[in-house]
Amino acid sequence: MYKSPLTLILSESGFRFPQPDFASGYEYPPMVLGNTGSFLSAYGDIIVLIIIMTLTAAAIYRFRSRLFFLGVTLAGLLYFGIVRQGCPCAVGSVQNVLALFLHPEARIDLPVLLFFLLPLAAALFLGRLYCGGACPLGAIQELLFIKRLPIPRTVWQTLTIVPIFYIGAAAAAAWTGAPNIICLSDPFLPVFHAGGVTGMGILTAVFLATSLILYRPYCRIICPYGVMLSLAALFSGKRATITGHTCSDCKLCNELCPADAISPPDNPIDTEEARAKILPLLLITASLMVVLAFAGNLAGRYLSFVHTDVRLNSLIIQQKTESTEVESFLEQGGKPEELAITAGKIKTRFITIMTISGVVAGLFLGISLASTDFRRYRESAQIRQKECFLCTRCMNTCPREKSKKLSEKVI
Amino acid sequence: MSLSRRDLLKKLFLWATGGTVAGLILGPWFNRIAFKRRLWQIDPDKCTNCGLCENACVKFHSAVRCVHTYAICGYCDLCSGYYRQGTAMLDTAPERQICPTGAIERNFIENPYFEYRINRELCIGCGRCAKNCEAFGNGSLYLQIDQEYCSHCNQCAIAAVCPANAIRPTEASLPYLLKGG
Repeated sequence: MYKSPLTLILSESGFRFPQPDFASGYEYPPMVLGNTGSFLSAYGDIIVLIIIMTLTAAAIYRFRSRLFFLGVTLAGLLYFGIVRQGCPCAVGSVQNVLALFLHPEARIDLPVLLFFLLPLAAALFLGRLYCGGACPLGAIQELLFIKRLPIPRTVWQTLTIVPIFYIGAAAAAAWTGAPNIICLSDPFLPVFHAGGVTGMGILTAVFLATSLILYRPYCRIICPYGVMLSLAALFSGKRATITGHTCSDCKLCNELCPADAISPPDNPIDTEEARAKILPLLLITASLMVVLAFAGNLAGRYLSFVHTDVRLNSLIIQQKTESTEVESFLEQGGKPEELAITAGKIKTRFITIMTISGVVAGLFLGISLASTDFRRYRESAQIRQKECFLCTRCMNTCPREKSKKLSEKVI
Repeated sequence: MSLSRRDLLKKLFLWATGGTVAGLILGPWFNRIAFKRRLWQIDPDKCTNCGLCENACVKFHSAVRCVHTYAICGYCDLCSGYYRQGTAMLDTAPERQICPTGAIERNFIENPYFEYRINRELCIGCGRCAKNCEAFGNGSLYLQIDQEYCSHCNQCAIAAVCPANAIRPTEASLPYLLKGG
């Protein structure tokens, strides 16, 4: 049994009030403590995750049915969102996994690790099944979405650098042993829990409102796990197809796709023009890397305040000795000089990691900008695996697909 | 769908390679994987009973409860965790109690000893009783996270704001950090 050191000291020196010797034969009642519950319950979530991802794959690749897909999404929202209250989730597990590699003392629970690995493995083979069917954050936005606001694709592509900075911040937090910032800044937390982090309600309202007119704003411009899954999905062997027939280039799917993830058929004639753009693009990429590195450097200074030691140090510098933080720090025998050194180290780590992520973000942005300029020959409309959430809308609009189904019915 | 022997071997080879690579990457970290989910607990030695637990928890009714180690309790008639300071009469009238929800039950044992029990369903984890018990009594009343009410979040929201850094995940074999043996 755990022995609290305080109790040991107290029992040596004696308590303020001695424990009574009861004459009536009174015995100490047992301490009333809640049951921890079976440790298997955490693995139940993993089984549900596997089932839901399998059903999502079936809905997309076997049945190609929007209704089936929505059913699975709703089931995922009900279980992971309402029953499990949004935790554990794969998005938050990113920092736990980063901590495993970066922090020497970090430990990880196996269910959390599996929550990170299973959807990633699924994405490597079958595309972003987790985003489509299992993720409760995605499900809310999927179900709220009504009609998309026409925002150019370049804007979305530019905003994909945000998750890279987010992962960078999580890596810095993991390296310095700060709390899990992805979990704490999850804007959908107040939806799943009645309570939540103070001040998060505004962000929640913003994301819920924008979900109506923008398709999955959180997934596409914030989610750090989504960017990992979309990179993994690039290698996936199984790809969703819009139609089994030749494309008539009607562009219906292209206009409908809420994620703007469909490339229409294309027949590039001249590549000379594209080749001439290589040098300017390289220059733009390089300058983007420099600019974003500076932005990251600046952001790192402020982001380091997520670490308690940095906050505590600034409180001590501001001479706020009456605050509970400083009081309990000094009570626990902490030395302000040592804390100043630790806080400085933490700040440096945050700045370093954020600068690096600025460079990476610049490179990513350069590549994605360049990719819009290089055209490839395509006979039919094609889904861009990286951006596709497998919502099956396109499959159910394609007139070729519909006529095929009709002809099958007639026969 | 038919699968030729060559394709099957190819697939098996790919899976084996992938598994080995994943194993090589994750292998050195194997001993840092907790197979049983760890549980959030308050270290009673660090806790300052500041009262943030009551509202910082993501649950509407915080998972933090006051617990009572009877073995270190003084069984006082004038319990500093039960009565407000300057109480005129030592009865169980609500206006004399510190507890805002009346979650502490006071039972007569024998002269002059009284037993104090916490009603887990009423307790809101505000830590007012614990703060006074720590300051003027034996410290037998203190705050702890009740595992039955805890959602076992990946990141405890209280741990992120705890001014004393008192909340940490503990191994599943030690679900409660309690005062005394």
